[in-house]
Amino acid sequence: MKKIFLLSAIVCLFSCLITSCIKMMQEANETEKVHMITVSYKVNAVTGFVPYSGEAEPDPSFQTKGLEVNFINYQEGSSFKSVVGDNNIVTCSLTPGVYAINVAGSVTNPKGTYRLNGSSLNVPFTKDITPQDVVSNPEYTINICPAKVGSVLFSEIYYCGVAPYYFRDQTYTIYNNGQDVFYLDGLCFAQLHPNIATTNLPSWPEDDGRENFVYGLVVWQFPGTGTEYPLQPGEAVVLAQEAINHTVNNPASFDNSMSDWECWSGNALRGNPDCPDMPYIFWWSPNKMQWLTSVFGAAFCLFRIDDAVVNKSYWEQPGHWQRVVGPSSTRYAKIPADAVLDGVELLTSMSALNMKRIPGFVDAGGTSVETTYIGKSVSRKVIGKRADGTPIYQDTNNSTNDFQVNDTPAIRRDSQKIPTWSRANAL
Amino acid sequence: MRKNMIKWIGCLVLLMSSCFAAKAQTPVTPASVDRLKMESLWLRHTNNVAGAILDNPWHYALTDFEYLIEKGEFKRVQSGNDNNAFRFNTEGGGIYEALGGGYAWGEFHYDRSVLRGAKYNASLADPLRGMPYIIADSNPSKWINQNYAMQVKLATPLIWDQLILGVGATYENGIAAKQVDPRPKVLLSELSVNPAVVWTKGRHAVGADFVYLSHREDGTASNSNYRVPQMGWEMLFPGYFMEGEISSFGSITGLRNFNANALGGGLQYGYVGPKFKIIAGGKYRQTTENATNSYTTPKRIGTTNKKEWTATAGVQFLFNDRNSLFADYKYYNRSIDGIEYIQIYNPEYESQEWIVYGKYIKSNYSTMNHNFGLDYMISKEGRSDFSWKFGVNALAEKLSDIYYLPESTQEVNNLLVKAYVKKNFAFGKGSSLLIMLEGFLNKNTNAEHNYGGYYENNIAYTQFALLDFYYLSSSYNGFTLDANYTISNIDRKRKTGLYVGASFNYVNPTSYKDYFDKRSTLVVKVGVAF
Repeated sequence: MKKIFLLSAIVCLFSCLITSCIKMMQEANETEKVHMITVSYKVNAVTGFVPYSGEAEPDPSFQTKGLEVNFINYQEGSSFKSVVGDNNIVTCSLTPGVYAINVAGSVTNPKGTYRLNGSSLNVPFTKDITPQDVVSNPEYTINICPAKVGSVLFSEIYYCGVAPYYFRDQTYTIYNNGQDVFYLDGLCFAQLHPNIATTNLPSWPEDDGRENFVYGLVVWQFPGTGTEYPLQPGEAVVLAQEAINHTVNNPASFDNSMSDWECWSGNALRGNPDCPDMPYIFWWSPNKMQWLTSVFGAAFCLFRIDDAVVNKSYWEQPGHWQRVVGPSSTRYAKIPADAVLDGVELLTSMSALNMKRIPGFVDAGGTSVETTYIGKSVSRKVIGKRADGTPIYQDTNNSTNDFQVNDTPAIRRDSQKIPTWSRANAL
Repeated sequence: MRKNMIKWIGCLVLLMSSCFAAKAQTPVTPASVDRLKMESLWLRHTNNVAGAILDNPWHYALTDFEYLIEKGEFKRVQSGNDNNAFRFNTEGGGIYEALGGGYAWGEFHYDRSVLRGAKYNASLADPLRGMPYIIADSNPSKWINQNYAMQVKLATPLIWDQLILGVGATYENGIAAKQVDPRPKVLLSELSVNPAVVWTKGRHAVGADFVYLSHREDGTASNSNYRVPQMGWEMLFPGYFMEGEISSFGSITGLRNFNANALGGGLQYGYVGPKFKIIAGGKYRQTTENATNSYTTPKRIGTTNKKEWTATAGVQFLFNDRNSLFADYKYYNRSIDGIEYIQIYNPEYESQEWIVYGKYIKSNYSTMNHNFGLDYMISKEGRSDFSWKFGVNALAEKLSDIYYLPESTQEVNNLLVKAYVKKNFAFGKGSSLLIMLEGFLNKNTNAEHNYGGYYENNIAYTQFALLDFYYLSSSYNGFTLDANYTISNIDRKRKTGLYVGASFNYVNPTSYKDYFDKRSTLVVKVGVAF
């Protein structure tokens, strides 16, 4: 009896093994050989709210016909280019795969010059998509958010630290690349979520729609009542985690003691008492030790919400913050897309472009010094000079193209000017 | 626990082979075992274990320790250029009266290898086994590999004078540890079961066998020095990959988990005439292997679907009691489809997983062989070994690899010809010296490589894919010199022999000399024969 039971058990086990084995093989046998497919996609410029379904009314004042669309397959390293045609539809022949769709271009209308940049990440193409499919299915639409060409931008970011594990010297330079004076008063500087590039992107509630917001982990705000801190064309302002001569602590680091503000989080033992502190107006769970952004590369944006007093109490109001779907209670500042003036996505390495985590209207690409603690910085490429010798930087809203890697960080690189009110003038 | 189990099973196999072999009828030497295996057509040409009864092998046991030294640059890119290995091998068995005329045979191998200078592999214990979906890095690396492999073959005696049942099983367990960042510790295990049946009537016999195989292998390439970033490649096909940093924050996570299952079977026919024996058979095996990159939220990196067809025929002509001619032919066809997945990670809290949107066969690796061999054996009457053996062997091999979109192709045709002579010097009944000299010549008859990928300047193409193509399409020549000296009857019961041996292999490439230099291998061994 025992033997029969044992034999039956062995036969059952073996049958299960064989069955699962046959299923695995059948799935493999049913796979078809790869072939080229032709896909169509609609490119809409939308100025209003885009619901989660993606069904949004395009703004007729922004025509997307003629914009270049790049279908990028990061896994294979391939890209296929095409141009938006009639009915705002772009058609492209490509290999099946997961693509990032990047749209780039600009348009000038009576309201000014606008960038029509946008991207849609992780789009799976497995079959032909006809223009008829596109018309009937909003799933095949990329909504881009027209952004007015602004003047203020990040010109240099030093984030990776220097060996051995020294990270207190992180420094950010903000520059006026335009032709008019820009008042820094009330301008917000946000570190975005997620802090590190990842394929595991956070899931936001459907009520927020699709790419209508970016979400801030920490928001700093320039002080001032409105016209206290003018930034003239060609002038730069420098912010630091800690504004001291870091070569005292680490000879391989550099001196950023002349920074205009410290992003000080409350550690009485650290910081330069001579350098004013920039207040943070949003930080759900402040780190009182220091404001350390990822040495692997965080993502940042500059924004200004018009017609609203943006301070600490603003971010406490419902509707101005958001939580990731799930059990986490962490709040993130909800930054409207149309408030963003500039943004940069920093990556662990350029090969991590497939791990991009912020929408294309903030930064259609990404940049990286490639590794940690090597004392390098990223800065914008110079495409011209003003009469006074100050640089004109490249700003296509794609940091992959706009930024370069420098062997060492610099304060006001490329002959940037110091604002008249800056404490750096006295140092 | 697993190591202990392996040791126990190993000891059991060793004991089994030793006990059985204690009843051997003739002195056992490497030459006599060589002859025995040569004459066992069912065992040599088929997987049908039941056919062993028809081969009617006498029982033997060999146990030896080997030490290997291998040096030289003429090698696959992923192989080491300065290797050492220590091996322990034991095998033994035969037909036993104690089992009512049944057949029992077992073997156990332990191998500890140190490979140096191996490149472009941070995932597999054996990167040349036909699994392309690995993580590769360019650091010349030392690997320390340990492998335990055992096999058992059992067959019933003739049932009702016409039926034989048999079963074979193998179990392999290994660990392979890369000693340079990114460094995985790869664990593998493989199990196969091979039931078989033979029906015999008069001089004819037909057989069938079935095989199930399961292979598991996994390891995580991680860095012990986090301050030095390790760039690498997530390989899809030679020259097709995703480049990135191998780390938990990087774009390439270091884990690879391989899970393979295989099913197959074969049919055989045998005939024994007064002056000749013949065996012919065919077999088919399909092996499907999935590669994923996580235990908890697995992303399907790729699947290989391997189909193998084999046809064999072997014949032994018995001219008289002393002289035999063996003619063998084997056709082998292997096709491996490489399947890639289109998938996206769903980060939603309730269902965090990779969702597969589609899958396609993106690549194919094809191998086709024709192998023809002739061996002539001269033996002396009343001895179980041979005095002379001569042989020639020709292997025509065609390799065809393709990546479909964007298209890259590679075709390599080689003709490898070998000739050998073996002489067994018998010094009375007490000792013998077996010497073998083999010369070989490989002529590449066709080599085409057309790359249509995106990375023609990347070193993972120029130093890996291209260099491997040069190796595969190389012409070369070389020789093997092998000597075994055996002293028989060293124990009181005069049933045990002691043998020492050495083998030297030398390979000299005659093409792509800018890339390759010679390679030589020396193996020394000492063992006992029961």
